[in-house]
Amino acid sequence: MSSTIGATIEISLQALAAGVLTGCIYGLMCVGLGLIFGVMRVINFAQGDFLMLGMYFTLYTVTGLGIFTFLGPVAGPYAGAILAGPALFVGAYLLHRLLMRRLTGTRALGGEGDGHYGQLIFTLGVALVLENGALILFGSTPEAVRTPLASRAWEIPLLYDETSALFLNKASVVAAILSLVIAAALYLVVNRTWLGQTLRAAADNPIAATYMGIDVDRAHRLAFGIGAGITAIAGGLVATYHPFQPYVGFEFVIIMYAGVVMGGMGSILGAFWGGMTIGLVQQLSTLVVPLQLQNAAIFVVFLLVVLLRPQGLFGRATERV
Amino acid sequence: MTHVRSATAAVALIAFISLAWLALGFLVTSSYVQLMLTLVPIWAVMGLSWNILSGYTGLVSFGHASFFGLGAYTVTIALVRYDVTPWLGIPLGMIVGAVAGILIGYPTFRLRGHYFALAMLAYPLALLYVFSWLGYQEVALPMKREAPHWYMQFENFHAYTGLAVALLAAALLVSLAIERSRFGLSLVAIKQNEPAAEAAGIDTLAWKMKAIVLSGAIAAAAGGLYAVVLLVVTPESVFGMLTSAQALIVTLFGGVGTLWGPVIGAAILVPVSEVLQARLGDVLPGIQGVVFGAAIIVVILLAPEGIFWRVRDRLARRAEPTIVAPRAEVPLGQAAVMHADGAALLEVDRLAKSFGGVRAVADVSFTVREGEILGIIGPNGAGKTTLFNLLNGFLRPDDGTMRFGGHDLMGLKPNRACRLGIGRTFQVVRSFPRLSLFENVLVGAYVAAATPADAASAAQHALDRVRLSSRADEIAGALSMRDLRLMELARALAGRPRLILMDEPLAGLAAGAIDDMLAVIQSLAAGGLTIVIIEHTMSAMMRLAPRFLVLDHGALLAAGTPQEVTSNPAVIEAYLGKKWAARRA
Amino acid sequence: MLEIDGLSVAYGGLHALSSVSLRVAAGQFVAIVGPNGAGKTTLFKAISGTVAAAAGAIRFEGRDLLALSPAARPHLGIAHVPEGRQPFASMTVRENLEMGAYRVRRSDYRRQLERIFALFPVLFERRHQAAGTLSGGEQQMLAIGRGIASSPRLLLLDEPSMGLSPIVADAIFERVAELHREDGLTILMVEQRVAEAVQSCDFGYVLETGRVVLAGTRGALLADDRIRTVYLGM
Repeated sequence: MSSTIGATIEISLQALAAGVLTGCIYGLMCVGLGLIFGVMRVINFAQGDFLMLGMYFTLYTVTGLGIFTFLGPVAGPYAGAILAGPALFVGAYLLHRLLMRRLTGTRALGGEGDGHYGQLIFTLGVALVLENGALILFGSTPEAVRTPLASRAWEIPLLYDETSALFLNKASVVAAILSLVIAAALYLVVNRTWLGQTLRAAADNPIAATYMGIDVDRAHRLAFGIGAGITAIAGGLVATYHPFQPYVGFEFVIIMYAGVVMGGMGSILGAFWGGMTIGLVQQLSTLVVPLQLQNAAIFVVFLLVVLLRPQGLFGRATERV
Repeated sequence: MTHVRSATAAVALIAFISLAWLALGFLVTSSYVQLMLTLVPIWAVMGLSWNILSGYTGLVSFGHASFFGLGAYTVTIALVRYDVTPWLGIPLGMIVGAVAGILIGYPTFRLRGHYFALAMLAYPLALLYVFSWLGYQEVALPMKREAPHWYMQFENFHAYTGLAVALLAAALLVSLAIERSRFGLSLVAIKQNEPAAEAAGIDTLAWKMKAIVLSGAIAAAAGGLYAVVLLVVTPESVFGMLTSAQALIVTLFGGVGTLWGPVIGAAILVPVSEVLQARLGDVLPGIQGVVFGAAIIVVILLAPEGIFWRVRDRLARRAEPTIVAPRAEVPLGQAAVMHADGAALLEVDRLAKSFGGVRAVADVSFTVREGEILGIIGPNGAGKTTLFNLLNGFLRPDDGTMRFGGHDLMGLKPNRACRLGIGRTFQVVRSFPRLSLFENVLVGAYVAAATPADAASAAQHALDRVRLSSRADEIAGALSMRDLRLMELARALAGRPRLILMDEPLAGLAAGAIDDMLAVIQSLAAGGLTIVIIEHTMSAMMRLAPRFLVLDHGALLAAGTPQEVTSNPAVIEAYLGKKWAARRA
Repeated sequence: MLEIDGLSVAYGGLHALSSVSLRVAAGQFVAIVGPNGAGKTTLFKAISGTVAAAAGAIRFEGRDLLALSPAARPHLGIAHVPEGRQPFASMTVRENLEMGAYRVRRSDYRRQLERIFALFPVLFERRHQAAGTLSGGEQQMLAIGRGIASSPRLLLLDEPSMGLSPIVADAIFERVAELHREDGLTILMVEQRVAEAVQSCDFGYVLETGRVVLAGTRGALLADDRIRTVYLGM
């Protein structure tokens, strides 16, 4: 009898731990999307594909080009993942500079909001080009960034029972810790630096920002680039324990939307907790519903939040549409 | 009338396109090309379905795959499990799609903008996982050797093309009927300005529900036929993101908010992508998606509303005549005689409204008598527009009472207030730029009209009253500010109101245009209409209104004749400042 | 310093401004008065570049403003205190003021900050509070403080009294007059409270339905009864 309870507790704790670890990485992804939404007020459909590009970037820098072989098999993949940030920053920055700018910023300042639909649909186009372009370039074979950590786990004995223990996959733990650090760093940049203050001003009141001499288009561009870079890093980290192919973005883009909406659309901290919530819902739902419905559970929770509390679980009602 | 003529032309065009497409089918021998000829109409139908909801109302749906997939699975499961022919399965699927429309629409229409788009995205993806979990990973439609025709299975592929074209023709006719009716006008009005539509008496939620139900049924029919043609259904192929995207893409590419858009889009994009897929698919597996994506990017950058509008606007611009505004030659009288003896039409008592601690309207009481012109003046931020918003139901008062012709106005939605006979114009004119002047006015006419013919005559009469009837067929987007203001007034008049609330009808008008506007307002008042008017151009107001209310900081500062009000020290202080008042005293 | 010649602005068939010309000399306090809808705010938006001019020219210290992007104009030394105050609502008072000094060196800003706090002590008290939580009058003070944080050469003040009670509005007008008198700031102010505006200015323009209908020095305007006609129609 007691052993059944013990087993239940063990399974629950295991799911909880998995939820927290996954949640950290989801949180980081959401922070990237949340920054873009917060500053530009645009839902970026291509965010999942930035994540996917982060994964392939990590794969090719580590195993393809072998740039980081000198760092060894453990540190190499993480260096690759982090480098995906600046790489995607440049890509997204240019995408905005060359094309997206025509649909944004000062033109949308008039307040009609039409510019936003244009951008929404533009990003859908970018998403289709990126993922199918990736299919052409990389093929459809599932890939993985191999790290020896993926097959190792820390075993944490549970105090109440010598026979049971919590297994924490080392790759997941390292990825979660890196996610936390990067999300915290971004939080500090946004809230404690001049750049962050400029971005917040442009997000808060674009018209007043223009009167202060802030180039709002440039602020959008920076936010778009940084948001893409952050999500790409999250992609690189996920790649160390999760196989991927060019369409992997869809799997995650919905998670990101759900997290950002739960977080209140536009708050960095909220987006992180939103992502964390999604991770927990996803992992804990396996205790009560079949594994195949894990993702359906996310959508149901997401829909409930959107319909019942559109300002988000952690947010204030501040959306200006 | 031109509307009837163009509707007949459109039906003829639909018949011609359908027949031409079928004829094209008979010229083709390759079964692959034949499949393509069948898929084009199916995706065009899907685009039309999307267009009915999102194109006309402007609420972008990223989840039309829900309906498509439910249609496809209804047909498939009905056949596989219960041996029900697709001839019945497709109508059954349409019912399922319509019901899904109700279930999805009712909660989701509470959301706007981004939230609506995101919520719509979640439905098909949740369904995708549910159908996989239910074990419908990949369901093939069984071949029926006996009575294949009964099961919608044909040796000759032309039959499928015929079915697809028939479905397309039906969807086009439905769209045409919507576009030419009150339904379409209401949806377009919602897209252009939901509050203005409500104020014109349109029950916006009811129309949106009708749109999503119809849209869901049509998308389900497309999905059902898709399953019949391809003979195999997977959750990814019918509920997947690409299905939703494709509905949106063909429409955006061809033209949003017109029935030809999805047809143009599907006829160009589907063959291009299929051919690329066939020729290059082995070498470049994702080429179809790349082309679709690139098409979206190019269209959104160069022709954000699609090819159809781009071409039409260009043609229209070339044909546009230079318009010389005819000026109404009506002598201006002094302010109309005050109908002090008229019965009380609107009674407002201690009305109050606060926003976050700021008293926007504070204990305002007044009465408007039948046939009166009442002017409301006051400095910027005095609460005048807020008062109007309370009267016609955009805002709910915190306190007080409002009675109109014996009815309690408290808590009524704007479309109900409009039905009771309160018309309204806005500070910033909201026209429906792609519609003709006549159609713009017609939107407001349905409220009080029993039949479409009645509505048309009400609209015509309203245009006469503002002296714009000679220009009824002009597109609103090309009108001058004077004509737009008159058009908006006509729209309010078309609903046969007893009281009309006019919010700054003279703003942005040049001197000559102000005279025209005043002449029209005076003639309306002479015809017995009751008018409450907010205006800043004092010289004009002096000529127009025999009685004024003055608001300042949300409170009623003074009331009386123009002479009384403008010599009131409190009013002078509010307008010109305390020091000025002191100097004059 | 600021020269506007034959400026016309139109949007969507609406003639917001037709052929408006005006001058602001260095050190002057110029007021533009006129009833609602006269085009006052549109004039400011044209100077700041958030609406496009249909015809005419705007020059600031000889430079063609219309050739510059909206975000580039503040860098010439023009600060715009917009109608409705437009605070960065989610940011603190201190952060708002810092954003006002976006284009200048930190050391210049620190000196100016002392001046702002001297003028509006309440801003110092509330420096850590989110701007959205301030009262209307405090937000107006913040907007002016944010405007002068960059030590501008020209301050554009749009309806500083809007929605404020007369007492608060008076306090604001006094501060603005002080800025002009003691700091020698060049000010172009749009205002619908005529008496207060005309009393504090050196020179005034009266705008009605997009045109300048009256212009003159303070004394001339105060003596002119036509202002009353423009406002009260009699």
